[in-house]
Amino acid sequence: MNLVDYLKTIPKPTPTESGEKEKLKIFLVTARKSSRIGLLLIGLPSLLISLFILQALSHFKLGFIQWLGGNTFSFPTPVKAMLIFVFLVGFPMIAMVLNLLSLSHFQFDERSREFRITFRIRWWNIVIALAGGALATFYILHILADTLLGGR
Amino acid sequence: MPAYKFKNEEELISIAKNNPRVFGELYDAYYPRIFGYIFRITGDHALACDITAETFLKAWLKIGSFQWKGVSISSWFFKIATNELNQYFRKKKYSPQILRDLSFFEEKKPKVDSCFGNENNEVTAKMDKADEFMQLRRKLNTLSPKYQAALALRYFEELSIAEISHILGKKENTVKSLLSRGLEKLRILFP
Repeated sequence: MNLVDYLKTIPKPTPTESGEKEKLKIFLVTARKSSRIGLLLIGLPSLLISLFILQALSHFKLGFIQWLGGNTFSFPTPVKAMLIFVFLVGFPMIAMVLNLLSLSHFQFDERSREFRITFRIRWWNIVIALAGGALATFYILHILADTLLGGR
Repeated sequence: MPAYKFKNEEELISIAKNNPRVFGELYDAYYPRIFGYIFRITGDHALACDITAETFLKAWLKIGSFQWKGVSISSWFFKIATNELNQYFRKKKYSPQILRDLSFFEEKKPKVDSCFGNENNEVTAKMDKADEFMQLRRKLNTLSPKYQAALALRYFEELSIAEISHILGKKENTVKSLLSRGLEKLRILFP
């Protein structure tokens, strides 16, 4: 038998599939979720703030803002304040934390008794984390300014 | 047979670029072939797991830049796997960069050892049965990576010259001469 025939006919082992296959698949399939959720958590508050600013600047009555004001009018003020705070500060903060966690890697080396934190450079997650932080800071500063200046 | 077989592969790939679940379908469909290819060259189950994982992670990260040229995406997966194998044969050790970066590697290591315990024993037993193939693989491993890849793709994976040409990024005539020279070198190793 010549070598080519030998190579063609030799029984080839087929490996059993690794248990790692499914683990890796789950990782691949969920890989972009943090940035997508982050985008949603930032996108909605940003849209709301933009609409408020647009209405304030143009003195143009926007239907959605009118509807929101009308429907939340009956809420007690602390509940309304809490809802706005959660929406405008809580959501962006969650987006920031989620994206920062997806960038960071924590490792404890038992031998050298060292706790190491490393950050991967993934621009999409970094931008979302920064935007989340900026949005939350913007609203907190707005509340602080309102409280301090309004008190005078 | 996976559901995607009934769709146009080009369309499927364009969806997979933005949809991880569709990429998951491609992964399910081609994992066994890529894993088998790497395993038959290295003969090491754990190493084949790492190289296959790194291959698909790289594919996932780069699928946005993949351009359809009428050739099945399997050739692209084989190409990435071959590059990873070349890296392993050059350095005589394998360091899966993305797998390590993603901390998947370190975190899974203890679990892998335990979960691979049974798998490895099973595979070692299978490889012992395929003793003749093992001897051939050892001989093949003494050749340079370019001959190993060409011969393995042609005779173990039964791919066409055109497919191998896409995978290795060489002209069909170059692939033919790689195969011919590879066979010559391998023939010398058989008494």
